[in-house]
Amino acid sequence: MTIVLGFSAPRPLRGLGAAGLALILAGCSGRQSALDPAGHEARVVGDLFWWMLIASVVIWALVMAFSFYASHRRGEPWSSRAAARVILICGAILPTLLLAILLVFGLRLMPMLRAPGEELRIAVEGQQFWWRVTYELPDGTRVSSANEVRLPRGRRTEFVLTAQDVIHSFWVPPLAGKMDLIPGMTNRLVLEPERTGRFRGACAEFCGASHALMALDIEVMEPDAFEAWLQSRRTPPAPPRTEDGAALFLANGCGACHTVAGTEAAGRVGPDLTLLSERPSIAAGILPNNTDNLVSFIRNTRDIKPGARMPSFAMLSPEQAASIAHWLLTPRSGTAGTRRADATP
Amino acid sequence: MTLRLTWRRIGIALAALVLGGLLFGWSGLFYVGATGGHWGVTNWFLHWVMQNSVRTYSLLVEEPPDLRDRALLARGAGHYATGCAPCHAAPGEPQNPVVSQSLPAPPDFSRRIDEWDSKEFFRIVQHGVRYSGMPAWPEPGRQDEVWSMVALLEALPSLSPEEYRRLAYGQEAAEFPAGGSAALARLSDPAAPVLADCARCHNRDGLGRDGDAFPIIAGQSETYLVETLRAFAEGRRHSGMMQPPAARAGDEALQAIARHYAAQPRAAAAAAPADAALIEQGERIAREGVVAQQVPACLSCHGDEALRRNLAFPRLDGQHAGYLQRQLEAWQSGVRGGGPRQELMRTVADRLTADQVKAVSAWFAAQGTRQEAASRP
Repeated sequence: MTIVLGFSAPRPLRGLGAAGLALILAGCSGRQSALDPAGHEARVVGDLFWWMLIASVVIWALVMAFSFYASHRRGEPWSSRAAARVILICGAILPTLLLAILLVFGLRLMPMLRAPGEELRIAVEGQQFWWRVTYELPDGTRVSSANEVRLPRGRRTEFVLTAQDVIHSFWVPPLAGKMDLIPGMTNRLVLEPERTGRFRGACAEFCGASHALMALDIEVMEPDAFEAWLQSRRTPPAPPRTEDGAALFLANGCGACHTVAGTEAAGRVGPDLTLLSERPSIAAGILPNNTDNLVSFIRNTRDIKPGARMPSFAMLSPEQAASIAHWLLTPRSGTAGTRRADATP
Repeated sequence: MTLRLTWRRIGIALAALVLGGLLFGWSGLFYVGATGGHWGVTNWFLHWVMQNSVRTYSLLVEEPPDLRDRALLARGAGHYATGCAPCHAAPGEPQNPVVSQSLPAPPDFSRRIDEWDSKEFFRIVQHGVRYSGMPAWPEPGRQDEVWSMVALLEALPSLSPEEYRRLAYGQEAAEFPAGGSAALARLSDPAAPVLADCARCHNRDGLGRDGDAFPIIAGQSETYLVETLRAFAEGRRHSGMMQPPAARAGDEALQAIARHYAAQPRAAAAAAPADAALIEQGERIAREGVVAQQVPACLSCHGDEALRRNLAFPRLDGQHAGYLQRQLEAWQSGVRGGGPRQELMRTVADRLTADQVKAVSAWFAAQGTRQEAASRP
């Protein structure tokens, strides 16, 4: 017989309990879990967590055993001298010692986690409810993107975190702990991913109606593939070909807020939409990236994302919105297709 | 004889009163005709209640703008001629005998006008008067329009018939016979063609009159004008002054009007002198937006290039600064409404500060003058 969650459930419920447990544990691995680390800091902090967990369980068991012994097994009363000694050792000296060990262990980690990054810097600016991403190359070139961050494996990349409207918090649990984005302040965070793959980050500080709809995609690539990708982004890609969508995009004022590199659209208010086709999701990590989702997001923006700064373009017909979406999602220039294949581990 | 009051007897008496009242109403004996008027005491009581209510509720009214502004007077008069004069008459135009027989009869302003202060006038014009036939303003939220009507009402006793006719009909006075406002038909079906109705305020050349009283519509995109007139006619754009003429014109006439005004040459408004720093700030907003406030550049929709791409956006160059400013303020307070794209402008206007509204309005106004000056031979 199996024991589920420490109690014996009636037979029909057992399967359910096991399934529930499996579901809960499934949350511990995957794209957005600190318990399935894929970065240096997350691993170190994860190790610390496990050591602390094990130690706490051992201490808890000892305390329980000792109190059981004291109340049930030991027949005679404690002399005040013996009691004072127990309190002194177990209540003061031992905890101080354990906490000191923990403190030294923790402090020893901190400089390691605070070590500066290498050449590449990525500026991330939090906005209601999306992320402005700018790769700042050592030679001063800037490559802009939004809601998606690509990182080279094994390198220490420095993030420069700012916010424009309210406080946000940048958290990619598999890679590292979180760091707040505070208006008027610049915070720094270094990420050192250790394995390639796709991960999910999220805003971890309540920032408004659509706080829960403010996520971002992280893709960790092999350093060579990353370098090739970044180099290709230094020059604006050839504009997508479907002209109808381009004309509609500009005619309806979309370019006032959005940039699509290589076209006349150069707005800096909203997310950069250059090479939107290469991002796994749209609307800051909340919808899978495909034409249907993009059409409904364009026409029902504020229904899908309450409080979004972009107005709903309900005056566009579904056909017009589809034309714009199709244009934005058309893969651009020759290298766009092969890059994807390189990036996939 | 003593009558003992008990709960039971009180209840029976009340029930008898209610039943008696219902019986009286059902019998049809109550006289609802307007002839003969009210009893003196009824008349006194109704007026007493109404005057008290206006006085008390006028405490909520905010401070008026400068009511001696000529533009307010012109706007008020343009609407008064079609919206108010059919019942209340006008200087030099006697009251229609038909309306003088209603109960209560609308006061005849060609003879005298009651003593109300500005805020009380505002309250009456904005909300109307229950049980009297006095309607509320079609868009009570458009306080600027209500104030211009108050400005006219305060000036009315001192206006000569000629002055009134000029303010109400502009260059179209010949199309509207003197005394014509007594024709009730004007409320629904203008005696003169639609264009003459529009031209009373906007002139046939679309440049308006009396300073910045009316927006410049000459040379505006036809697509935008049609969408705007339809929005007025259907109540999607809010204005107590523009909704009635747009609604009574009919769609075919609206299209013709849009065609007419789109074809007029756009001439510069006589721009009020604005301070150079203000205009410079306005230019920056118009060209670059204010990224920190998430304000996109105005010209990305209202610039020459953008207007070539999409005729549904209005051109703003050479428009009166005051008009632009009032529109932006109306966007911000949520009363403007508009055509199918109203959501876009509302979103953007909300993000501008009062200073920025002033600056960008001044720049667009000055921009037109410069262009005009440059293109003039």
